[in-house]
Amino acid sequence: MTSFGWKRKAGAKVSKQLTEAFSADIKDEGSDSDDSCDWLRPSPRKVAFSLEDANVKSERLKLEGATLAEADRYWEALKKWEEAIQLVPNNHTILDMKAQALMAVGEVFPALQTAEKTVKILPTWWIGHQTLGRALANVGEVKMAQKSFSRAVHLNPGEPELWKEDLLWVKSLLDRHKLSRVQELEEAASGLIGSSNRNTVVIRELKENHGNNSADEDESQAVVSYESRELKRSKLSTPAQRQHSISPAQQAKCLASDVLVVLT
Amino acid sequence: MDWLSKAHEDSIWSCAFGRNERDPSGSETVVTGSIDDYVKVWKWQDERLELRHTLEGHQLGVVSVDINSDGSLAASSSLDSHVRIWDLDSGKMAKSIDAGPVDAYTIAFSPDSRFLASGSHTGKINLFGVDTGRKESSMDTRGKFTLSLAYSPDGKFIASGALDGIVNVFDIRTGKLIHTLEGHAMPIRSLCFSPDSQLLITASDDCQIKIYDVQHANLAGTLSGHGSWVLSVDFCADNTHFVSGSSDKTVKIWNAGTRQCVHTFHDHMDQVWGVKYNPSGSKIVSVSDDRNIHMYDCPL
Repeated sequence: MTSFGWKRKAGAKVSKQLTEAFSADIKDEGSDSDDSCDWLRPSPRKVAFSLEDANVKSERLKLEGATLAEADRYWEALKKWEEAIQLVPNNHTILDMKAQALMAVGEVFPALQTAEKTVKILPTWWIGHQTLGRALANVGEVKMAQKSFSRAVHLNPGEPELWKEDLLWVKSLLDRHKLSRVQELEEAASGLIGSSNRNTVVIRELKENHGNNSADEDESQAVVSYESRELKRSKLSTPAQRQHSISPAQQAKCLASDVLVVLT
Repeated sequence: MDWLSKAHEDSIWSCAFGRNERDPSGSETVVTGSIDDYVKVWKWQDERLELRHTLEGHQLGVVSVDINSDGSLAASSSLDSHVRIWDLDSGKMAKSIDAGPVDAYTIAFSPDSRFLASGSHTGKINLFGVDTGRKESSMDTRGKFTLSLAYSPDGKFIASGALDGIVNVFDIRTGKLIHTLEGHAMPIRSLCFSPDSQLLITASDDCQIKIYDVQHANLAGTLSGHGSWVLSVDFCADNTHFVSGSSDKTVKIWNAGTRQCVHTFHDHMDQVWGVKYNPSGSKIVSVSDDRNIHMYDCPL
């Protein structure tokens, strides 16, 4: 066991004066501990009274974010909500707004992840399923988007906007896809696709299939990669183009036309 | 107790349990409808579920299925507002009714199997002729979206539950609204009459189940116990017990006389959207978001 030598050998090597001075110090310490401060023990931590607790602060940040998002300042809003989520991790409304804002700035995959988390936290909340459906549609998973919209409608059938804007829109995409598949097969059967006009056929296919490609795995891969490339491009040039405040149908049209531009 | 794992590819939303009167061996029929757009017909025999038919044609998810009283026909409705009537023997479609946008939700066969009632978004209850496939008449609740509906077994009343929690009871013969019950403030996802048509049970998103006396529209009891939305209720043929399924993933058996929960099953791993007794009241089937079908024995 290690020990401090000078104390034990006090009588032998250390001068008496010094030991006396030290022992006096020790006595001092004991005696004036009541009127001066205690140097040996750490002082008890002061209780800091914050004006707001985590819940209140998170709520405030959420509202601030909402105000920013209304002014189309999505990145700033996201920063606020990120902070709010740090304070209260499993708040479904904040997560849902975050997912919507991520979609608005074109970050489709983070948006999808956030929307999935929202649904996991509160599976009976129809708005979460609606946002998840839109996020899925944005990455081109139209069949899965339809299921999410169906779930949302099943939870709350009394929302006309959900029926018309989301569910029936996605159904029209699926129907069109089915139709185009049929036409394609007919064309293939009648041998219309020659090597000369193959290119034009491919472009039309992509435009039509942009969203509704669930049936064919390979095709969906191709379209998704086109889309993400396209999104990166548009984000650099015109970030405002990708706001989700416009209806999803318009957005899809806009995306589809952009894909065309890239290809042509 | 028996169960069938992964009976559908995705969430199962509705189920029906009927007898099969043409089958001398006394088998029973279970019909399930799912978000995967399929309606599946199962034969319950020798303590086993056996898939008989997979019925295709619906889109956007099958929200409601029912079997008529003699077990010869099944009806199903989906979110694309189509109602289909199927022949259970052959598995062929007998009728397809396009009810128009959002004009068909929950469906129910009348006890005499001549009509098929369906709720709609305007609050109207439409009666379709099973043979004609046409809308024969309608009753207006003047309320919100009709989410659930049920015929009384004696064929005199039809009850509907709305999205805003209002329950309406109609006299079928006159087509008049006789009672409006305002017991819940949240959507009524399911309701059912007792076999003697004296009691009406309502299940709501407020986690409660209420029992009403149909004649006088008195509230006879409020049952709490579920931790989340109550999605489905069905009465047993013994006129005493009823079963409920909930978003809290449980199935509960209740005694309507004592208003106590008799038993709780925790077998499902996700929301239980449908529970049904068989016509004799000896078995229960339940379906859930977890894609499984569970069968329970009920000692009578």
